Amino acid sequence: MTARTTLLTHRAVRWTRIFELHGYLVEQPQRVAAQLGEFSLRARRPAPYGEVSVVLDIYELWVPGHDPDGLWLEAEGCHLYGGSRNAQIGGGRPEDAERLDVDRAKPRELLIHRHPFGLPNGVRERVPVLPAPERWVLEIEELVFRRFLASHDEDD
Amino acid sequence: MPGAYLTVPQVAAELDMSPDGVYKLIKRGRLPAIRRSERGLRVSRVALAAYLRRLRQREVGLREGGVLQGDVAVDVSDAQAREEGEANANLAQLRAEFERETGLSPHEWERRWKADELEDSAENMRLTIRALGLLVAEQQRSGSGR
Repeated sequence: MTARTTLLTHRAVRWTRIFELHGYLVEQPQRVAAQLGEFSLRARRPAPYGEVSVVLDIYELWVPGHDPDGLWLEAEGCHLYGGSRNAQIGGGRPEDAERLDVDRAKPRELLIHRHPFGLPNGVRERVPVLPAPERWVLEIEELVFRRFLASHDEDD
Repeated sequence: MPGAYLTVPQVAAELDMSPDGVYKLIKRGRLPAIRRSERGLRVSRVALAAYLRRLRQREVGLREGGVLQGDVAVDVSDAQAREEGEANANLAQLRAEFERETGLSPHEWERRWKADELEDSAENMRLTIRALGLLVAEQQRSGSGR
């Protein structure tokens, strides 16, 4: 097994464990292109108690070698060449999504950036450091909670 | 508040343990919680249900590492077999799929993405990642003389 394939397996397992911890249901990868160093995962948050529905999509592309942009997104002799984390919260519009991208095609200050929840796709905010998967999912859970409170107009 | 989110004492009652025990579960990362300013922590009922499911599964010894861990690993291993055995054919197939889906070559897609000629949507970002992956793989292939 190549180092990159090992890395992809570790990443998929790590993401899956986090999703499971938060009660998400993980769907089988639509297409794992390990030959390219790419994997994708989709997870759905069930809403049996009146919560807000959430769909998370994760895409990561790992390429051998050191990080060329000094972002230190490295593991197993590879670096994260491209990535996207999309959380669709309670609706299907771009404004219902919170998205975090690693996009090396963008200008230097936007190599890691987010498209904030509640704003259209065109809005990008610089992010200095890519949050760990655990941290990012927790941030999404906090967003979901706030969205839930807003939709229930609660004040306790 | 509807029952979708619980306070620590409510979770303690459901788990038949002390609030301190619940705080320990949260601190150890076994039960995720959301910090709500000034009013303490909240635990989603979905996350609590997932925790109880894991407890039950552990008790009956159905698994250790998680069903999904095995499932995902199998898929990645399958892909690895493709990587090792049918690399060239797969690369051409992935490129053809990309071109069929987008109507553009990976190189042209990358150019338009960089020039902001494509909408900055989640779906287009996914396609950009695929395009970049194809381009890097093709560069590596030509570089290695294969």
